[in-house]
Amino acid sequence: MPLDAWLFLGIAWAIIMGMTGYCFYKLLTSKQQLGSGDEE
Amino acid sequence: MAKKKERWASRVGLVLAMAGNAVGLGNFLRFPAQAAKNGGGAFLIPYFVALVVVGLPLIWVEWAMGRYGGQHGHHSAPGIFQTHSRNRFWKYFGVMGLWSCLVIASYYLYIETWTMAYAGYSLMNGFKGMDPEGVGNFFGSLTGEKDYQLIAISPWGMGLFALCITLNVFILSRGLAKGIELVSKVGMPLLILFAAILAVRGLFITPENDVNAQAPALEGLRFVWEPRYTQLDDPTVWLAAAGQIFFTLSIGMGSIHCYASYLRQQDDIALTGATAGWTNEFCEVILGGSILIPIAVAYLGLSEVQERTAGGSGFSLGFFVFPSLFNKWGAFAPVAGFMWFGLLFFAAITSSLAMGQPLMAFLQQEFNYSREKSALAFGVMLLPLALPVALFHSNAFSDEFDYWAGTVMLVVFAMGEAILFAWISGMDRGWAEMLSGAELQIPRFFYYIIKYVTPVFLLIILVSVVFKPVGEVEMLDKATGKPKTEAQSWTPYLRGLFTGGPFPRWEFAGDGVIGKLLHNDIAETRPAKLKSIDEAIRKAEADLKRTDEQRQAEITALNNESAAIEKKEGLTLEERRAELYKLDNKRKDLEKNRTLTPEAREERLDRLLASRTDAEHFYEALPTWRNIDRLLLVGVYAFLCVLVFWAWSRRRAEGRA
Repeated sequence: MPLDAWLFLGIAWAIIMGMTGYCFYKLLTSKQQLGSGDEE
Repeated sequence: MAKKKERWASRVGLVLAMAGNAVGLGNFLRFPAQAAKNGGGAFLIPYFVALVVVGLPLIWVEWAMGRYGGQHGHHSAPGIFQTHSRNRFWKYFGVMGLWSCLVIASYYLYIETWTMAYAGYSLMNGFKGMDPEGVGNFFGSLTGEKDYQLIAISPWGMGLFALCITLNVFILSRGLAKGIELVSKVGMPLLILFAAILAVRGLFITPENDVNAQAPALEGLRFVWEPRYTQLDDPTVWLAAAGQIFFTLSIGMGSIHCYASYLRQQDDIALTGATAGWTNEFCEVILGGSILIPIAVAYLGLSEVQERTAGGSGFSLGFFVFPSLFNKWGAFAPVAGFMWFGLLFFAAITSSLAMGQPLMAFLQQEFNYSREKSALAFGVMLLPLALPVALFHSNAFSDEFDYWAGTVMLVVFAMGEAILFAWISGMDRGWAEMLSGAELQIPRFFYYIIKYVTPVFLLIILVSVVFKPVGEVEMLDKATGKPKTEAQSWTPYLRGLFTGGPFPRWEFAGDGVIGKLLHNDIAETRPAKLKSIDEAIRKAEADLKRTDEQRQAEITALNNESAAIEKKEGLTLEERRAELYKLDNKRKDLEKNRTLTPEAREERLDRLLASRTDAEHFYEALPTWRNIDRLLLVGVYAFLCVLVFWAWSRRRAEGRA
């Protein structure tokens, strides 16, 4: 595979994995949880 | 007695449900084909631009609108829109959020049925030894669809379809936490696991370690990723990227609003929405881009894959070719087939459940239906749409449903909600709503993107879809050196603005809104289809006049050609295998033909002649059926408007309006 194809693949994968990982990290380490079972 | 309000059980469950809503069949079948067709790696440039200017902003807009509507007791688009403007227009505009979900669900559930059938049949090793033609026959028996026949009935396919609808209704009836969230918590990790196993297994295929391989799977990855920068100045590529982002994130349907409406005011939407969006991107770009095309290229060679994905869809590869390719994986084949169709099933069901919930929520909220009764009502309301989908050729109903509900109306709905959110309700108010409880600092420039860029971008997409031209241009065919006419859509007109022309004569393309209304798509397809049948008839007639010796001579010539390629110097292993593969396929066709009796040849010709007549009748009848189909869609919209009118009359009578 040519270098520029690897480059595009690498950058796109890095952005997506980085953002997905960051979001899940923040989400899983967050103290905020959803409330459950409000009465109506 | 106080009624317990439905809520999501956990944030991770909500993220998986939202991501499941977004991750659909398109992630694995459409994205790789679109990327390969529209510039390879360079496609990712407009793709990420579209993600920033349309995708992420609209995700946050829909989450914010949904959560705000939920605080005022509304869980479906008509009510949610009404909370943002008191003008009644928006309530009836919001009906689109129920209508799209219902119409899309009618054919999406049918495709979900196929994935279920294929997964089961794979596990039973039913595809063992089958070639793509054999798999095509299995598909034909499942759908009952035959070329140029309007009626398509398959009793067992219908039975499975009923089972699939029942399964969805049952899960929906269990509610958010015990139904949708539970399925997403199981389905999404399994989907990712199956996809990862297939991607890793597939990417390591090389001709050295697999005798059946024509090329290394990385050749397929190259086909998807190799940047073709020259395509970046083609507006059609930018539109394709925006379209892909739009459809992959399930925006413009009303399902995100509905899911978000079960959140409380202080619950975060910025981080949760972004997580769901990026999870979808992970499934699409990383997993989706690494399975279908790399595996297909490894076993079929690049040219056949290019041919099969030229239309920008990987459906034919995924459903007709893949089961036969897995046969090359020996004992792992049934498991691989099960994993492929299993992941497609999970992708489909997590999306179809999201389509059912808005209508259910509407019936629960406005007519005090119980969960079970509203789920059943969703199943019943599906029938007038699902039955034509299952009983008629896909050209007559499901393709039309997909075009109007699954393509055009999504853009219309998204543009409406962007205007409502940013301009009518007010951007300052909207921005405050988005940031309420936010655990992720949304950069301030999104304020301006949502207010100015997103609506303009959507307007451009809409105008380009409504007035889409054929845009034919004369160009030189690189292969033959002769001039040829090629459809270029908007490209020659937009380039002509800068270069001063020439502009082709304006004709509406068959896949544009106006062209579609004028049935130009049928006018475009019909001559090509009839021509291909005529060509087959001509060949069959010529074959009748040939002797066995002539047929044998052709096979001998092919054998000699293969032997010459075996000895030819300067070819790489992949090139040699690809050449031999092509010749081998030709030889198989010729040998199959040689074994036919004269009666069988006569029968083949008769079948083709009958097919010619059927095709003529089919294309003559199709416009009428398309019109019936459109009347049905308008009728369903009107019916939902009446329901909304009735619901608000009840609200007024009860002093709730």
